[in-house]
Amino acid sequence: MFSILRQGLARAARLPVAHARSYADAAPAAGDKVRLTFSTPDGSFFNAKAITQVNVPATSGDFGILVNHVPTIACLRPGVVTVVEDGKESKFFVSSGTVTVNNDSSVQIVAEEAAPLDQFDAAAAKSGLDQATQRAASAGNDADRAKAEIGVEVYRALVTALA
Amino acid sequence: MSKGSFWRAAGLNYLEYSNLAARYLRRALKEAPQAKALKREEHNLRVSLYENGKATPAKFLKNTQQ
Repeated sequence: MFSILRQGLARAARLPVAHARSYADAAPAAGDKVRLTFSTPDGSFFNAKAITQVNVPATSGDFGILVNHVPTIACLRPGVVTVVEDGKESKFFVSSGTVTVNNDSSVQIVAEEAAPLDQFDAAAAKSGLDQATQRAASAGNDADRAKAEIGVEVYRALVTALA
Repeated sequence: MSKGSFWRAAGLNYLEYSNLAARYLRRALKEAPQAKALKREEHNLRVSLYENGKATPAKFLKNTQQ
């Protein structure tokens, strides 16, 4: 039994190595649409829906995803996710989470908290920004200051998005 | 992941950052969606200790955040 296994391994070793997709290869056929799944722990906004483009805010910088985007994984930061389908745009604000772009042009966005942009209150965002800024300035240690500054980051992005 | 995250420098990890960012964000929602969203923060716990093979009356801990 082991000799069969050994023969099989030897044969496998002689076979040419099947390379993963590299930059020079054509992407597998995925149609001309991105398939987007966008969800939070509470539910999903899109479930494998064919869309044209989605723009995401990542800790490494914002980027747009069109069909045949190179496979990527990134962490989300507070900001606006814009989904373009049939020329119509819908905007959501996300707190944080992950975005995964796969080889077959499917995209998964998983956000810890997210809501359509029109569900946010601009006045609450402004007062939140003021309070968080104040708490960051009066924080007694690094951890408390960082916690307040996360609020500053969230509310600043939200105020900008709602302006 | 950006190397220069201020929160990472202060000893927080991404999960703590994410959790806090979500909490801040919920507080900027309009009234109706906010009421619904805040319910997601609640973690309720029923604790019942066993002594001599018998359960003591359950204690209900409401909204244990941390």
